Amino acid sequence: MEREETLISDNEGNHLLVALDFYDEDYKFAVLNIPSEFADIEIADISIEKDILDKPIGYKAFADMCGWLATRFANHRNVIITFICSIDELVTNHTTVSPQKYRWDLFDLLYKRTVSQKIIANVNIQDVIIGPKGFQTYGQAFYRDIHAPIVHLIVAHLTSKYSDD
Amino acid sequence: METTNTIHIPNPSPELVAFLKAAQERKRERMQNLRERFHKGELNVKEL
Repeated sequence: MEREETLISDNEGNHLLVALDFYDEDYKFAVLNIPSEFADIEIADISIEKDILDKPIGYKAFADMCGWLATRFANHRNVIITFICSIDELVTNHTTVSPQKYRWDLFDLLYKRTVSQKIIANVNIQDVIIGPKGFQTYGQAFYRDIHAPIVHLIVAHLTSKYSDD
Repeated sequence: METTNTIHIPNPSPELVAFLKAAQERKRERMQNLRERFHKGELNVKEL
């Protein structure tokens, strides 16, 4: 699995660790069931963590992270980028929502600001809500119009194979 | 123009839950590795 990663300072003593992991061929074909004619598609998953978990992170780091991710998306013309929310506990005052829902809301807010500031454009989003029966998390896929058929195939596969309903 | 679609899998199969948990564990290990390399001074911080 290939990886692109960066460390971003908030200039207030903390850092964001950000990585994009590009899935290998086995994952694309065996798990996501992508047809072989789309073999050149790249699927990359975002990982984000604070360096010092119990210290708040300044907004500057999030803004810079969005710029870094937007550049990765622009540089990889054949990529679909996913963000699957971690269920790990958060050190936060926001106790009324689950950690994964908090992450989903925060990432969605950051994405909307990035679009409104015209840092990124012409990106479609596929939201995936999993649970609550047995497990609860959230995910998003960011893709260009040209890749919509692939996203639709993956969604159909997920809903048919991986749902117990 | 950006568009957003949503799918909901309210009752994920055990296979999907196991897959997601394994993926999150792999992600946890990779980020821990990244953090360790950072603290060993093996990585440069991006100052924007």
